Amino acid sequence: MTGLWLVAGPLVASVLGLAVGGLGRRWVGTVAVLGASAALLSAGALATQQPWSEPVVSDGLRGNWVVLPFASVVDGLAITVALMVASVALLVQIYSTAYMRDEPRYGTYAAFISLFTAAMLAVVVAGDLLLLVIGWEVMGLCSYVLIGQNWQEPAARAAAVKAFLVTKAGDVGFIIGIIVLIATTGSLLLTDAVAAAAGDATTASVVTLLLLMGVVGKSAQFPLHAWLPDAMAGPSPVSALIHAATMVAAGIYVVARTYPMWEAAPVTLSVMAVIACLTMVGAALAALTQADLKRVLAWSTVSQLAYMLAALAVGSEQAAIFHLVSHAFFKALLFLAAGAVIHAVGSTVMSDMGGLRRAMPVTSATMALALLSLAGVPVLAGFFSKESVLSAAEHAAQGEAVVGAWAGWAVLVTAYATVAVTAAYTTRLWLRTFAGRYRGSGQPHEAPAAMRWPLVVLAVPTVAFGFTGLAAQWFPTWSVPSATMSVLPEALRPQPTATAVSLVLIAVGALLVTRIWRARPTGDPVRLDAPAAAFARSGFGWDAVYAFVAVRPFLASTAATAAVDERLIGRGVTGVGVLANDAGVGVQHAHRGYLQRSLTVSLTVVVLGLVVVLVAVAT
Amino acid sequence: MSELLSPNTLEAVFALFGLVAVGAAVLVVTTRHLVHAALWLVVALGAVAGCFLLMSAEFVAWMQVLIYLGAVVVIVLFGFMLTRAPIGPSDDLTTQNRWAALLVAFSASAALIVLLVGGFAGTTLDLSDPTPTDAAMIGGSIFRYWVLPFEALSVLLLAALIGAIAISRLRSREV
Amino acid sequence: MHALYPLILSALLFGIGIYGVLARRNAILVLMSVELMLNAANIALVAFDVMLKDAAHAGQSLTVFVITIAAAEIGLGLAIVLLIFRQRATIAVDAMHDLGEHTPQRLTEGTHP
Repeated sequence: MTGLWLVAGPLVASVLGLAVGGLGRRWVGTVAVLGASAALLSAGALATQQPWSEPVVSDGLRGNWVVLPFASVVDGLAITVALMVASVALLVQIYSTAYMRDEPRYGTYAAFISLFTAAMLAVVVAGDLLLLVIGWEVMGLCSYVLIGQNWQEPAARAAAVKAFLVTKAGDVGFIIGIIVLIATTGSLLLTDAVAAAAGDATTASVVTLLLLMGVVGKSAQFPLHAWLPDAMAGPSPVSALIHAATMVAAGIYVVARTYPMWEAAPVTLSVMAVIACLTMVGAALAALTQADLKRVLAWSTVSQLAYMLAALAVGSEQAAIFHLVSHAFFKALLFLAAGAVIHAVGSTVMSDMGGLRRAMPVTSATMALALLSLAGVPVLAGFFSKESVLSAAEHAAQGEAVVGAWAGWAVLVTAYATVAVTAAYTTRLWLRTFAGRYRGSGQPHEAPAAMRWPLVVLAVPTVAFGFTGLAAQWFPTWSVPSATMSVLPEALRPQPTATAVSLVLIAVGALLVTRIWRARPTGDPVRLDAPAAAFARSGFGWDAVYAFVAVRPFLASTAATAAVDERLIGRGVTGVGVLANDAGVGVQHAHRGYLQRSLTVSLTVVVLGLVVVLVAVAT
Repeated sequence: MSELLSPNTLEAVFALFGLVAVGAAVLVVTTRHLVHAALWLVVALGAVAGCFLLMSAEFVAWMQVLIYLGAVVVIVLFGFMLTRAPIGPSDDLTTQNRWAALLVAFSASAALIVLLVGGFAGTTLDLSDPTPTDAAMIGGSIFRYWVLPFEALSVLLLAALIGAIAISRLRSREV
Repeated sequence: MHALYPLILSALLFGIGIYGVLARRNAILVLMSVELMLNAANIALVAFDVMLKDAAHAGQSLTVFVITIAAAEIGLGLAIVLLIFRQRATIAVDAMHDLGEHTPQRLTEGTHP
């Protein structure tokens, strides 16, 4: 149960937060921040026990027939990710005390953020498959509630439902996969189950394909990607925590945690590679055509998650985790900064912004650093993590991975293309928001302290985190999962050729956009009204596919069910009444007062009586 | 049974009268002329009187003629006259109930015939006595054995008389 | 004479009378059909009287009574018919249903709760 101490702090804070909600914002904020701090402190305490050399696996409580899913695994991977989650959660809670100052329902908001933190940490330290599923589902619930924080807006309500339903569609496969895993291996303990499944190729393939559905849903990959841009209807701190750093990365984490099983299933890895390639470049193109600041970041997240998925596909879960942590820091920073900008300007579309670098210097500087990291400019964190993914793809292209060499080539080419597009959209974002002259009608000002300091704190790992991968005994060792302890961690260093190609592509993308922008500084470098741009902006029309495949048949079936209930069953019920009434009416006809009718009936009875007597006498 | 099929003279004549009675009765209930129905009733009742005569019930036969043919049919004709019965044929003299009525009538007759045949198939009526049952015999029987019903009947006739007058009296405002 | 001759005649006349009572529209025609039925009864009574030859002549005496009652009945019946004719200008029996109940409304689809 050692790892579960991480979960305890935020869980208690969430319950307490709901209780003290009526006492005022100070109490709510204090409880929330304390809960996140407790998580961070416990993660730090566990880190001092050097779990990377000696993982701490604890069993759950098991009786004869009752199973309490409390087993936990605390190894390097878990602690690294837990530290990331706890620190981002703490910064988000601090940020929210200022961001949500004027918003109603701050108490429930903070409580659900704490609950979410607890659920994510439960997934991170889960040593029991049931605990993994519980944490996974609670995260989905909190995401739904938090996206719908401003439920008075119909867009927020719709986005929350869409997020829930789309991720739930993937979760169906995920849960079935877990059930198959438990059934075939007979074990609820994660490490044992994974080891057993890794030994049998068919089990591994089936389970991993099913789990992949859940990963695709939660991480917003093709074809379950359309919910993430709409989820931007939620508050920016929610986007920072859930839809950038943690929940969307939970799928990647689970794959890394159970990686031996995935290495035994090359089919799944091939599927994963295809999905990652499609998503990577598609999402980047969509990001390029967005008019809304947060939507650019949302599509960017989808694209970067595809990078992580690609790294997993080509055989390097180390590169995937490296990119996960680095992306978490700079993407959280980007969303929080975007929140500050939106707070100051009062609008989310970039055409109302511009020239904000003078009015908001700290925000502008930190956001610039994060955007450079996102684009992969040396020597920021994003550069190192992206290069590690490219190196892994190169290795796979040379046939050194479980998946075929074609996958490695596909990932490599797509990743390079995406680098160029990423550079383009990050440049466009910064130019439209911070450069030029202010196009809006408000009074932009720098963010308050509680919102500013998290930006500064996050800027540090954005710049420096990448260096921790250079030596094999630093990050690669710290983040080693206990399942692959026998494999020696390698240093995550960029390769010279890959670096050169990337730099050229970044320069091409950035300079192209800058040139077009300089020609018309008040306009958009991308022609948003062009039909191709509009098509890309809508996520390549994917919502129409959802409508056709899922929404319309479902609505048709509900209409059919309602019709059956009303016409068949309802009329059956009322029909009983109608039948009784009609029978009565029929009988009433004998009482209409028609003499001959009554006489006919009477005489019939008499004759019948006579006949009966005759028959009786005759027999 | 073979005696039925070779009737003697009496039975043949009785059968003739019976056929006339039945035929006229059928016409009474099916004809489309209202007044013709009354006239066919005369024929039917007359044939019945003839049947009575053949059974040596002389007093009853003449009572039948007097009262039925003389009074009842006349009062029926008066009724037709006072209710402005149409002279020619009318189409609406039989109601929708005719099929049910036919069924009931047929089954009633059939049941009765079965009953009578079952009960009296071998019985004969002894009409060898040349003396018919005349008024003296019936009168003596009534006033010897049926006095009370006779008195009750006279009260009934009185009530009917008073009732008829009371019902058909014109009220002053209906004049 | 065979007893069945008058008896079967009686049964047939009775059936014809029933048909007339149940199927004819004019009230006076109905009364006439009732007369037919009474006559059928009379024939049967006389036939049984001849069959049984009892001292009290029950059959024929009762026949006299039936004839009397029939006359009284049709007199009174026609008085009633005339009164109805005076009030309604019709004596069709199927136009007179004051003793009947009004047909209740049939339930339509929209009246369920």
